[in-house]
Amino acid sequence: MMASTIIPACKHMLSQNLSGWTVLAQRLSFIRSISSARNKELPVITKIKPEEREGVAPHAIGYKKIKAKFLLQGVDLNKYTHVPIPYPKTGGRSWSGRVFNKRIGGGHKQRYRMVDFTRNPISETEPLVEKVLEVRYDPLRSADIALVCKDNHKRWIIAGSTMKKGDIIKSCGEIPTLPVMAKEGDAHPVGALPIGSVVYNIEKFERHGGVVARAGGCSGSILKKIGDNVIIKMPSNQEISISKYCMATVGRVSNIEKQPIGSAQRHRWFGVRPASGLYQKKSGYHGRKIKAPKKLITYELHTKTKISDMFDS
Amino acid sequence: MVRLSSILCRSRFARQQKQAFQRKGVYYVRNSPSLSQGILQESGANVADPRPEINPPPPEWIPPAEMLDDFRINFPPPQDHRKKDKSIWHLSSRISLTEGIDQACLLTKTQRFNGLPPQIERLVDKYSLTNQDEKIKDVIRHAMTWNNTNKKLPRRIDFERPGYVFTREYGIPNYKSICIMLENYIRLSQSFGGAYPELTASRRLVCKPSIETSYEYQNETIEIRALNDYIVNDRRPLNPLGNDQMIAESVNHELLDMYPVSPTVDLLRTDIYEDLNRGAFKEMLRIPCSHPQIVFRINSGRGREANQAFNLMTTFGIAITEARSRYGIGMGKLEVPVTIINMNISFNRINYIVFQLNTMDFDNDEGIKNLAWFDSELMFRKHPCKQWLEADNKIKPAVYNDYNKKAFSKFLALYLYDYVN
Repeated sequence: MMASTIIPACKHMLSQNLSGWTVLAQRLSFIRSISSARNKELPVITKIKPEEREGVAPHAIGYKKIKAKFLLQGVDLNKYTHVPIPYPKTGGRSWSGRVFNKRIGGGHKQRYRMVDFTRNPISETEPLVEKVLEVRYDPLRSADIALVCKDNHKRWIIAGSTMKKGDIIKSCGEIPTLPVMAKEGDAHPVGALPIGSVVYNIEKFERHGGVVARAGGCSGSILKKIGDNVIIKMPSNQEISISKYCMATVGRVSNIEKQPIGSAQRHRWFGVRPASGLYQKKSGYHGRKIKAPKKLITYELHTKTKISDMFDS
Repeated sequence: MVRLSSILCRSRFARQQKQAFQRKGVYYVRNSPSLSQGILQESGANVADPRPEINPPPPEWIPPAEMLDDFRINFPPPQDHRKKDKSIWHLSSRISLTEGIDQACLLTKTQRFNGLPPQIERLVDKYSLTNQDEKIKDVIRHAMTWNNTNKKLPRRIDFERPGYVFTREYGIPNYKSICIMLENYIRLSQSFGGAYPELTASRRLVCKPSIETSYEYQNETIEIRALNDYIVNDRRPLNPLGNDQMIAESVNHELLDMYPVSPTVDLLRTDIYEDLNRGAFKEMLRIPCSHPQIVFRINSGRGREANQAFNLMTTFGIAITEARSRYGIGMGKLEVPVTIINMNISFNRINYIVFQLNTMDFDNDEGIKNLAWFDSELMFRKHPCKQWLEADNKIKPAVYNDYNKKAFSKFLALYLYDYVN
């Protein structure tokens, strides 16, 4: 009885060389084609070795992670634009829909302006000269940002404390024997600047973009020069030694006198939800723990294949 | 009470059957051996099965090695026979220039003057309508309150009291009231046709004319595209305002230096199929009334500097097409300069531009320059209601004051230029 019921259903398939497999295969191909189409457009950002640096835009060399927010929109962060991009809110949810942070949610609508942290010169002798067109507030960071332009290329950079509209800023690549008399807002290699000078937007690796001292009102300072390395004090009072070719901008980051948040309701406008649970205030009876100062960190590019080759024989 | 019946009390085997089939699978039950089969086997005859010959089984399906592309996603690219060969700098109403009027002067190679030229300044307050001020106040009342459109207005933000939530307002949108004002200003100035019949006899008003032109600026092509609101054409062109001495002195004028920024920084880089040169009315309308004289344009909510800069570019575009239709392509210095007046109107402000095209040579910044006069007047002031100060916290109608009669008299002087003494 069951055989007779199944056969007529299969007859139609068999007559057209179709079976359940084909239907399944078609569906699979549909899914695969969607995923392949997405995979083609994905901007693949990896940690780039210095040998493979040529094809990549200079602003994108320092990128380490993919931002899932921009993947959905099809925005390629490797292509630079100064036009603001819509910045969707996560609500504390991950890709799969699970909550990863309870304190994120709501807030004012924001837009992302791509900030270029590099200040590379054209060559060692020829500096890059740019003009400041605009200084404005950025919703996604505590520092202000400045729109600078050279020829037909506009880009956003982090604004210095004294930067204003109409200024002309330079980024030089030369390291003379005597240290330079630097102007505020100009970028120089760390080796070219005098000891004790105040700097911000400091690179850890050369031509990788500034990483240290980018928040509002922050600054680092140059302490010593030992050989080809320069020792710098970060805003966290920790010391690092970097190559003398690493670029840094002279001065402090803008927005020194930050506006206090003031109320719990204003905190909600920035997309922060209230903390639940009782906070137990520490009495201070047992005193403060005294810790040893942290060790010096050295940053170096892995130019050689073996680690043993990097040390002197 | 449920009535007990045989149907209710029957045992259900459907689920058990399903589960049994799932466990054991579906298979044919062979027929039990019959007597005739046993006799045939004993006799030793070969018995062939006729079923595959009568009803042969279908061939086995083999899945393809490579899957075909899905037509819903992997569709072929559209075939376009034209080629986008040329790459140009595009300028339209969405783009605003960073340096404002000075940058527009650099792109069009013009010398800038503040205030109207003396020939037109002489006509201001010389000619006027009967009861002119009352008529224009009526126009403003018509545009602001008397018109009966009742549309949803955008939510108001007051910087004196940020964060205050206003009640929703319904009324006349800004664009609508500007349209009413501009139409009435033109109508009132056309009423001079009785005294000076040449105004009505030879002039013609064209609605919504567009321009698409391009020109070569220092080895780069710049394309100008715009949609104006009205244009006044005539059988004859306007007489130039700047004399020969002014044109000769413009050699010494120095244009803006934008180092290290390029003057084409704000324009959009695009590829196009073909070069367009539309805007001269000789080819479009095919009437003798083909010389453009006055352009009217409604601004779209930007600053005065940005509006004037863009309007200079559009008048320049019209002047270029006019010069090409008169003298042909590739002219240096023009024999008779082309003059075009632009009047662009905002919510409570009228801006005036008088442009005179002297050269078509834009290879470098040296030599003779074009001339342009800029001026603007505030018509009135609007004081919207401050809702938080009202006693009953209800919104009241806005107050209009500071009426400036000079705004329309300048409008009239520019309209009547070259037709009255």
